[in-house]
Amino acid sequence: MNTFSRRRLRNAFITWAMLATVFLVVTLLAEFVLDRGQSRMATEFMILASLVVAIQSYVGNSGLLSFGHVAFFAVGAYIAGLAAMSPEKKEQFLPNLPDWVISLEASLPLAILIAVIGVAIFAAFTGVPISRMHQSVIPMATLALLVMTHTVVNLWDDVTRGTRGLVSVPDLVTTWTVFATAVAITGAALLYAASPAGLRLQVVREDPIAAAALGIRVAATRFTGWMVSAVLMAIGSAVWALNSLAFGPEQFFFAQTFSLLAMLIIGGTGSVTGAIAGTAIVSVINESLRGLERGFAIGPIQVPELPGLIQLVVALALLLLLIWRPAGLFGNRELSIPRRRR
Amino acid sequence: MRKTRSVAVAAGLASLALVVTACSSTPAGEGEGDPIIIGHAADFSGDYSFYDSPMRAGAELAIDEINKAGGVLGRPLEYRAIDGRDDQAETLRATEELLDAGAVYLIGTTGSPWAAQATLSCEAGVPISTGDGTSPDLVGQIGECAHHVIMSDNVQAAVAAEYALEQGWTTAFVMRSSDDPYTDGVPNYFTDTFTQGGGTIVGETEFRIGAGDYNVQATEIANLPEQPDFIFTPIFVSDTQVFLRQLRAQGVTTQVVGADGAVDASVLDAGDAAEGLIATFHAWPNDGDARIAKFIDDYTAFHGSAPESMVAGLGYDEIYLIAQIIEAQGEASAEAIIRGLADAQFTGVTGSLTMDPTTRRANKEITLVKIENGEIVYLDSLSPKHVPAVPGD
Amino acid sequence: MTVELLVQQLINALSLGSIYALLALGLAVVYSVLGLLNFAYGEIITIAGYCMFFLVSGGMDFWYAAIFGVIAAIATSLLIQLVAFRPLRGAPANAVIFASFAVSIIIKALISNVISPRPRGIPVPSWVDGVIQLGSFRLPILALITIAIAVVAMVALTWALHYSTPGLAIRAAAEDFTVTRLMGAPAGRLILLAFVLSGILAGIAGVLWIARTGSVSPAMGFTPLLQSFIAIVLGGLGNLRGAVIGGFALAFIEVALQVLLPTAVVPFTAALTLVAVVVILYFRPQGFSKLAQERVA
Repeated sequence: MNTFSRRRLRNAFITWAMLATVFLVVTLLAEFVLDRGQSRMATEFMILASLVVAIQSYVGNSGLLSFGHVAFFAVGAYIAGLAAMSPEKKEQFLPNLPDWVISLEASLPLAILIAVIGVAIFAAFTGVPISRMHQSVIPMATLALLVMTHTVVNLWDDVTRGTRGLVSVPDLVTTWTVFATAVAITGAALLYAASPAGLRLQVVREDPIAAAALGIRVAATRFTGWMVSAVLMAIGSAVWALNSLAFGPEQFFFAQTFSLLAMLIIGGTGSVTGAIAGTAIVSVINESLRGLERGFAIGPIQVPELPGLIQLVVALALLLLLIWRPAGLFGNRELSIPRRRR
Repeated sequence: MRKTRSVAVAAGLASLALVVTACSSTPAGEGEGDPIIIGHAADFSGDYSFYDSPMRAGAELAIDEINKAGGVLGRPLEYRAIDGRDDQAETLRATEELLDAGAVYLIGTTGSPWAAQATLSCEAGVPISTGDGTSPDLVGQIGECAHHVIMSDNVQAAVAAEYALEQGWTTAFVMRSSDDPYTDGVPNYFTDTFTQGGGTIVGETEFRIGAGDYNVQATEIANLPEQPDFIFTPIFVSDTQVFLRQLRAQGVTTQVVGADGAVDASVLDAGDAAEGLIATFHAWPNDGDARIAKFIDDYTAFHGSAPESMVAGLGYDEIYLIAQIIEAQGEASAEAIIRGLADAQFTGVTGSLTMDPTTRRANKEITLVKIENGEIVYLDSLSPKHVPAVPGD
Repeated sequence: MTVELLVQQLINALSLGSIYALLALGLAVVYSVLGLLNFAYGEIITIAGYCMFFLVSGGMDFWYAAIFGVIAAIATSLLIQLVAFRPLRGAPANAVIFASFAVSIIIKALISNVISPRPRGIPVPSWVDGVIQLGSFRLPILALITIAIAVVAMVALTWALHYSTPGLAIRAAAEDFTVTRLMGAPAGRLILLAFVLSGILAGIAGVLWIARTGSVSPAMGFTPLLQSFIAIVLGGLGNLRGAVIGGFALAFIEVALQVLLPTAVVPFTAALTLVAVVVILYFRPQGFSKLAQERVA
């Protein structure tokens, strides 16, 4: 378990190629076929898919539900947003920032890099104690992490502008950069799942005691997964932030957490394909119902407006899907070329 | 077999999506007689539907009246409201759809996606309002196209302070919450005007929005060495009811003064505890004002029930304001509306306003209401002498 | 700080703690048997509240309506069991958690669409807001009622858990579900019983909560849910006595931080409470280890 298995690597590459093709089709549609509103939705889908895949790389491989990834999301988004905002705007809205932060006007790659470094430091600090906890309390600890992060973001007026949020965040993202991000994060997540470190984490997921008996260091293995996932989350968050124009603390709390996790659970936590499929399903439900929600007529019958219909349908879909397939749509399976059974 | 079924479902959903979007994206023309589109991308199903839905109901009535009277510049007004569900991505999407449809003016959402939405609208050069957002630092941060056409928090807090000083109340205890820009900002503006006018803040305490229990704060107030002349707090309904009941249960009879977040019929649920509460608001029906009475009658006839909140009057006025500007400019374009909004003067059912061209905020008289005998009644209308400065102006 | 102030804040903490303790117990009963958190727990309170709202607006007395509220809570708890837990027995824990979460969203969305997204008031009898003056101490009647009802409920529960066969089975299941089943206790009936108990406790806590807030809204279940989560973590997951201790501890921590901290730091109360939670999780995870092993197996 210390070297890459060639078979796993090959399968990962095949899956990657197929998922990248899906993203390519979405991107081409967004660029050349869809109207402006729909291509915004297509871009949004790829960003969300990146974030859900980043969460999957921890939740899927470790089997531990994490509510704390939205804390990484918040940290990454604020760092990237602050790095890329123009010095004049920072001077106007956040005059108490240190001078070197104010004078910084990062490009997209630099903003992503700074976000990755910032989130990695944050994740390292929180990951050490969390990885050493008993697995039954880790979800609780991550929930606490989310609430604490939200509280700080909410109140740190000098840096985050508190509840008023960041405004004038430059839009540095194109459909193609989002495409590249989604493909890169998907590739990294697949590679990690196929790597020796990822495999060790999957062993720990199945049986921590047996894994320890095999000589796997449980806490260190979990910590690695936490860090990989945090870095991917940081990349996704930075791209999200630089596509959002403005955002505030309420973007990074329970509603967001549950919406991202619901996408992951619908598709199946066990696979990257599932994460992307879950995001796609929720996006399609959203898109299909937004017309219906406004009310419509079937012949002479006027169906009234139904605010809240989308939420209701997504929740019903989630419930029915879980009853039908508790492991999510894809379970542990990745998209691959069908082969004859051996 | 299962796989085929799920593929069929997915294909069904996808084709449904195509049909729905194909139906909804009808291109808009720009010629004579074509409708003038006013958009409203706001929250009609989430937490802020509390404000945005009444805005819409009021706007719908105004549109209906204007079109029955022949429209504006001979063209009908078309009002399109899209639910952004208090979700940022969805609100941006809705805003973009309205901009693409050729909307010349947008009513924004009261919820937090407003900043992003307004940025998008400004990029397209289309004017946008703050919905029922009263925070005075909203429009300054966005740019030329953002307008604040209702009362602002700094003004309503100043009115509360000056009204109190007028009554000879010189000591105040302030209860604030850092959870929201509103509950955090209003006490600052209040303190500014109140101390400027010679009043003293004897203490401050913090509360959590939606905590469901304010006994600790009530006990703290009950045990103050000396009761202040009044307690000032921008607490929202339904927290207002909880706080008032717990405060009165602690034996405190001190006057409480609130802001517009507390003025809703539901505050009366607190029963006796709510008696005597004074709060600032946009406008309130009173015997001397036939306009509001007529608005309520017309609204009831149009929607089949009385307005559930006077915020409906704001939506109604906003449509008439824009119609008046288009008429005066003789042109129904986004640029013309921005030009006209700069120094607009307007009188509607919620009172008169004058736009300030430098801050792009309306100067508007504030109404004070009081709870008497289980009813919210009109108390007074005032403009403050000392208006607190807004950071960032 | 004067003695009066201290005593009054203690009463505040005790009455808030009584509600938290009941809430946490209701969540912990299900957790102790199934090892799963019920994310739709807050909606039990919501439905109890709306049931009371309709009855009280129909003219029924608040406290009679409260009895029906508790019955509605039991029915809701059983419904959640039927829809979100029973079809998913043996499924991964994450799936069940999200099934209950989906039920929570469905209930909230239905209430906002069918009834109204706006909060609705429930008039509480005015004597409830009265005060008993005892020398220089003011004792709010609602606080006394809350503490009394909570104590009675907890004593009754303790008695039932110690002296009735199903109660003993629940306690045994909380210790070790697998062994309890091996001893011949019917698993299905035990789970049903846990949900009934959970409904009763949430219902009573809900009634007390509503007597305090005087209103119902679709999202009203969120604060109680979050507080009971924190409470059961503080007290040790799946440990019934711990849940009670956790509930009171949470209330005392909240009140103490609010009273003692300078106003500028008070907004950090929630974060500070959670720092305590994380520290406890880090140093005392063994408190929950028995159950965790059961779930791994």
